[in-house]
Amino acid sequence: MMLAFIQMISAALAGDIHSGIPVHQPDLGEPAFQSAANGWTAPLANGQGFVRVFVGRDEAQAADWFIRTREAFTLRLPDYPILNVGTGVDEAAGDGVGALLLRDGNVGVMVRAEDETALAIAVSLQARIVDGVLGLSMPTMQRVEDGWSLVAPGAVYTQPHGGGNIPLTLVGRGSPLSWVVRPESITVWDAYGRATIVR
Amino acid sequence: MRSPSLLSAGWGVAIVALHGCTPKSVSLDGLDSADSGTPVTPLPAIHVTGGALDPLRGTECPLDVTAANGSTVRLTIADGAGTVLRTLADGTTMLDATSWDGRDAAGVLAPVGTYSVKAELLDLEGAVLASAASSFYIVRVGVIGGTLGGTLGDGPARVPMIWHRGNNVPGNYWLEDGDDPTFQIEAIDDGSTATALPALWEDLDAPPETHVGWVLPAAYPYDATPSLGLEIDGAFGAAAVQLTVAGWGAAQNVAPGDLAQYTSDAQVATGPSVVEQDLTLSWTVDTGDGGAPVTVGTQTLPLRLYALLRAPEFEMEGLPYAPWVAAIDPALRALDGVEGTDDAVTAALTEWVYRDFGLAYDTQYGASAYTAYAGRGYNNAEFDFTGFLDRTNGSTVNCSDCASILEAYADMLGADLKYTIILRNYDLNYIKAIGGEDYTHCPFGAGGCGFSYHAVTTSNDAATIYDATLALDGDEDPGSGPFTELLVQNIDGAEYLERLVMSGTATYNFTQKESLR
Repeated sequence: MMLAFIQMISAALAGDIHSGIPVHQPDLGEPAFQSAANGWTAPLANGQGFVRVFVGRDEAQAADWFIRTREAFTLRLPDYPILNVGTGVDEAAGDGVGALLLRDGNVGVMVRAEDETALAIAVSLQARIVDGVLGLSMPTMQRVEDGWSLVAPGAVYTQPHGGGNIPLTLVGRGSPLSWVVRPESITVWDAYGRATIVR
Repeated sequence: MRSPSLLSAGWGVAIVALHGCTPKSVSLDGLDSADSGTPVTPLPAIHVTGGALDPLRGTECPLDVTAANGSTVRLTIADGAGTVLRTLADGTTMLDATSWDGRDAAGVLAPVGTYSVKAELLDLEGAVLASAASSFYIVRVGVIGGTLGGTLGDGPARVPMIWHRGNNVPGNYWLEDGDDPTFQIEAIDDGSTATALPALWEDLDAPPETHVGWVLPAAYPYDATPSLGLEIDGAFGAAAVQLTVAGWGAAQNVAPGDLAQYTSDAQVATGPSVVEQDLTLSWTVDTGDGGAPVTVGTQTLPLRLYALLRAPEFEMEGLPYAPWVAAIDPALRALDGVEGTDDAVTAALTEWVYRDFGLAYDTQYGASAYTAYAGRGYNNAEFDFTGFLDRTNGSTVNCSDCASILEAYADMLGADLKYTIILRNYDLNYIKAIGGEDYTHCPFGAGGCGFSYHAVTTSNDAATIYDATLALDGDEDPGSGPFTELLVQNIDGAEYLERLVMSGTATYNFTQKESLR
């Protein structure tokens, strides 16, 4: 009985720290990775809008993202009743028609849908939140013959900052993993939209 | 020099003029062309002028020969050992013209070297009356690579540029550095055909996978003077070869392996623009006979130079903070003819973004499609320029996007801009939002007659404002019709707020540079 109680408490606590949302979705276009502070964005597959998704290390990061994202609307978004969104939602804003912003623990979702499907898309994305997947093991930079190379198994996208010129011979070989000049930092994303900064 | 005795013997005269690939015909009719009409005493002599040829670049070298009074001519080409390779004329009467194509009697291309051309004037029985010989050079000429450079003030003038989407992957940035090769080719010929210089690389998003086979564009401040280093290749033998780049200084003596430096006679442009030109590279050989150098070949090098206002105005260093080819190419074409000042460039960019980008303001929510703030309170704006160029999130934007767009283009062209945020929650006078057709003071409909914030751009801490999001009403009463369109191009910061805001307090905050991806 004690064990069951501990498992229940653990599940409840873990519920607020999700692994993320798979970045490739059939109803979304190709994801564009922005920054560790702002997550990723993708157009709706029907071209009628876009989403932003953020996966923080903790709830506080996502709550901060929620505030910043809400403030970027020129027309102040009203609070949206979270009971009308779904279980697990901690806060929401918008009208649920053309725009909806929600936070579920450490995951934030913003939908701008010109076809007035914002609520449905947001709820759908929230339902795809994944739990219990380990993040990337810490990526490392290695010196190679022609520069620097990143060892990051499981990475789906890398973004160098400062330096980071790719060798011309590697143009066209997919997301860059090698650079002539060592980047000052690299943001590495996994398949669930979690960003890790390598320095 | 003159021999009246021979003239009286009735001998004709022939002059063989062998002069590179430029025909030089001399007709001897007993008149001195320099003193037309005056009978002169022709000479029973024969003259040969040296020549030169790159058989892979030139066609043939014409040898124009005119003989008079039934005289005949023998014309032969011999190699350095004296072995006759080719007899071009042998006792031909009144030989009007012939030429040498650089091949021997079997049609084999003569190797690079010095040859002799011998012309003999024969009498009717074939006896040699006079003869002359001169040198003839077979060469192979060409450039195998080149690098644009140049200086402006105390520093290098060429501005590094970025291709931002290698293999369609955003972030696959490739920086063409200021000293990277502009073009390279594998070889100047394949043994039978000369290699043409490459074509321009036309892709604005992705770089080529190698420098070889393409001419890459280059960027400069418009008032810089570019230079061009050319890698000389080929084989010249004993010939004295010169290379001239039309409009880029004087001819220079060159040799294989040299890096010949040329400097343009003029600055890149008179203002921000795209300069496209075909440079003509002319190869000449001084045949040593006192005549003008003979042309043995020409090459055409296509160039595209992006004439920026000045070096870019980013505060951050490293990638991707350099002009993106995909941005400056269309921008500079749109700005062609604009004066080379910060105000003129930024004003033109403002109008370009406002009128020509096909963007529309998000009149439902004012949502930002391409800009997000990484810090609280509108600090650290992050602009997804890669996504914007592809319009991945559509063409419906808000003020943060328009400020980001304008700042990105201006900074890349060298006009310093920052974004600044006008806070907070004020009602509007009449505006015409980007993509809209009508003036309104309620851009979000009846329930939305104000901005919670508004992002604009400035180069001077909001003393003056540029704004591509909207046009103001420029008449004396911005709070009602009629409306006079006023684009926000360097408008006094206080006047801007007076025209924008109907009621409420509005102040400028968070003036800073954005970051790009």
